[in-house]
Amino acid sequence: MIRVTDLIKDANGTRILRGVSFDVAPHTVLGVIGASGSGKTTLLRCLNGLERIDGGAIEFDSIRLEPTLPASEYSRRVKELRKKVGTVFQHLFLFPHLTVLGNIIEAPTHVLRVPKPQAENEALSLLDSVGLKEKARRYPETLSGGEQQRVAIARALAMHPALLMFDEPTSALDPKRSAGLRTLLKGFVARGHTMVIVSHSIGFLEGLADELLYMEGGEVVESGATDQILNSPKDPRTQDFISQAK
Amino acid sequence: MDVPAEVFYVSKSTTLKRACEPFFRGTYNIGLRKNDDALKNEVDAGIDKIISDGTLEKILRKWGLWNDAQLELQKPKAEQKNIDSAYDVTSASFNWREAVWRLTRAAVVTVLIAFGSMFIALVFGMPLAIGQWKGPRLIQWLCTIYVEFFRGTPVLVQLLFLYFGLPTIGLAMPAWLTALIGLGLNYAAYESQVYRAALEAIPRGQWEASYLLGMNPVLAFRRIILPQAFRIALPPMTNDFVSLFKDTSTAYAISVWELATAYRELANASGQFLLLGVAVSLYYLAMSLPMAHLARRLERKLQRREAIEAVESEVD
Repeated sequence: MIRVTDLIKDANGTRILRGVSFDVAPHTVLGVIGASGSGKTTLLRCLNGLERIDGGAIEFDSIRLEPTLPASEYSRRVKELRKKVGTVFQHLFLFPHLTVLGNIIEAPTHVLRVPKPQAENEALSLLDSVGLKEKARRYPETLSGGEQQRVAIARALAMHPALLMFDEPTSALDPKRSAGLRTLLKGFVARGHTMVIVSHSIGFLEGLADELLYMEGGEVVESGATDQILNSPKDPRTQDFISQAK
Repeated sequence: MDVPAEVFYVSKSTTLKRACEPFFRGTYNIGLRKNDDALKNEVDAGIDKIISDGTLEKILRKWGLWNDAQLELQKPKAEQKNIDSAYDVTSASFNWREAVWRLTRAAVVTVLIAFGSMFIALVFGMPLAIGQWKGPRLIQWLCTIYVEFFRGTPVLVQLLFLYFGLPTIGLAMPAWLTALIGLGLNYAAYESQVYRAALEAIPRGQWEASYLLGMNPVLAFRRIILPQAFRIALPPMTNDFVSLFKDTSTAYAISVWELATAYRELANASGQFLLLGVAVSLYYLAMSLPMAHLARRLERKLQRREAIEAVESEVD
């Protein structure tokens, strides 16, 4: 479904991503792990088109992003790509002036032009699936961090993305809430969603991600099945990271 | 304008003409040292003499100033017609009802100028803000020059320039319109900065979240950024509006009959600087206090909704 080949990204004269390659198969979960500054978040921002890539290519089904494309064509393809990708940021960026329901139906009603009653019904069933149906009329700032995150997930899902991406989903959650989120996401995987989850929490990804990709200094050090990476990493750098994280 | 001055200007200029017959009578007075009755009697006698022997008439006729009104001066005092006192707002017969009526009219003009120029400022401030914030380099540059010009020079000078300067290049406007537009353009510079600060205060993540949900920049701006920026901008905007209310007083420099002009004119004529000053201040307060109150209510209304829910969620 997704194929990333030799992806390069520079920012302010520094090479952030140095030739990253990987595939994500449909209905699988890829966990991207690595220390802060390893380029995980930048990789995510390239995948959803917030950053323009400087080398290599990103392929998503029939959409192909390359640095050689003219700006207008690149942004046209990014628009197509974004229809298929939903992102939940680390800082969520809910819309504070809209209710929970308003946050979720904003894009469906104004971008997809879904009639409002229909969008609201869909939103309510999405809120139900994340356990927040009673809080539909509340404003985001009145919710707890975990609740806000589930609103952000529902907001992303309302656009029916084929791929859901998370940036550090557990950074603001206590262990109990992390476990709750993992159960929730497992449910989505069972229903056939594909996910890319960037996290430094190995415990969270264990039992959730099918494959892990360990990054360091903008490069993929090692990737493979989750069990293999966690239990018998080949590269000494991966071994270091895993042993420290455990 | 006094008749002698009018006669002088009309005779000297080809482009001026008399607008109408004189409509108000006044007298010229001679000031003397107090209690110098001897001199006063001599002066009176001298004036009586030139009135009765026709010397005064001869002089006035020579300069084209003789009219029927002069004849009345020759009658005994008792027969002289009482001067129309409706116009008279002097200390001797200060007509408070007339003064209040004129102040009220001036207050209405003040309100109209304030609202009109605030409207211009609010509307014109937005393209200025966006131009300076996201426009191409040249537009940014022009907007900055505009803003710095209007913020860096006194509004009084700007009004004088618009009123007296522009007609020399053929752009003449009535005084009230000049004040309205001048203050509007001036405050647009301030409002643009309020908008810009508010827009810049919205985290970049709000834009990115909008884009990732498929919104284009215009939609994201209209539905996501602007409503949030409006809340940030509201308090400084209302502050500016109250300032603008008071700055309408600069229109006195171009003789718009607003409150400050009314105060100066009425007080000059009557000497009632103290009482009129209090009255004029009350007028200003009666207009600006409700404005400030309204603004606070609007702010609270925007915040209350969220505050109530914050409390509710604490209770939950």
